[in-house]
Amino acid sequence: MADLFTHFVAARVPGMFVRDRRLQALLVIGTFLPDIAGKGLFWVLQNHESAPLSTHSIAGVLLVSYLVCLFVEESLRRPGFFLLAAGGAIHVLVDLAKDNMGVGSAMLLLPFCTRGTEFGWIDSENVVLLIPFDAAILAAAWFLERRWRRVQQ
Amino acid sequence: MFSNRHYRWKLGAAIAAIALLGVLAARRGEAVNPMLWRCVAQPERWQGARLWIPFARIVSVRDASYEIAAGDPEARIRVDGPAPGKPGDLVTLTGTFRADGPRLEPDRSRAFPPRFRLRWLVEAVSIAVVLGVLANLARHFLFRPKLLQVEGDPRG
Repeated sequence: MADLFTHFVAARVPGMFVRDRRLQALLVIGTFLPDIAGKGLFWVLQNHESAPLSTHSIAGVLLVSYLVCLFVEESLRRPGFFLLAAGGAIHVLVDLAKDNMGVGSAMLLLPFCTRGTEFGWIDSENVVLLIPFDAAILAAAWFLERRWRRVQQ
Repeated sequence: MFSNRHYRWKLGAAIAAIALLGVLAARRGEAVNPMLWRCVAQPERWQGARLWIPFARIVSVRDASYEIAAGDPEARIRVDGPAPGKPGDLVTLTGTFRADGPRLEPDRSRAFPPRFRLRWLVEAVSIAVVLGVLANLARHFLFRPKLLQVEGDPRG
């Protein structure tokens, strides 16, 4: 789990291009679902290592997104599912950037393969250094979004 | 798939599938990366297992080895080779478990920098972000009949 602020910014920037505010909110919450569901499995199964990683897989992201989309109104479910899944995919991509000593931060092909995957670009303890960059990106995104809205009005 | 037809069945199936995936990952992942305390409790069973210890504290340092404490419940183990830090430092490492000792043959190890003590800041910011996002979600999705009565249905 990289810090959730980085996850938020990674989903909020593409969220600028989603016009419906409700779908935008689903995209952003979708990026937290792998960690929220993973924590749930961690507590229920009392497994620290691999159970939380099940939500950091393609199947896990799709299943959790489907479960959550069932809680929104029927007309929003289909686009809601795709945006929740997109948020989950963004989360997994951000986590893949971390260096977990070669062990991997996601089991992408679960249940067919338990091999961990990672790009290993940033040490997991150094995510704190990303916070200022995240804040700058978020500020720029909000500024651009407000300008576009004014132009559209 | 997205309609209200057989809604309860869909809900139940989704919850069951997620739980099943979690159990499967826990079962199969156990052999991939067992917890340190399990290896120390049953050394013969886990001989040769590959371990990743995300957080460990160096307890003591000797010439050709050092001892670490890690996990919950906490377990201690001797690690071959030079220590990546001094006693009290936090490290992360991967290695192969050996039943004789028991000991760990390290593959990769890394000492956490002092700024790792700022981890609480990351956690605090993360919690604040999640609360903010949940509040935003509630603003868009909470059913507010009083608001509907006053303003009318937003969809017309």
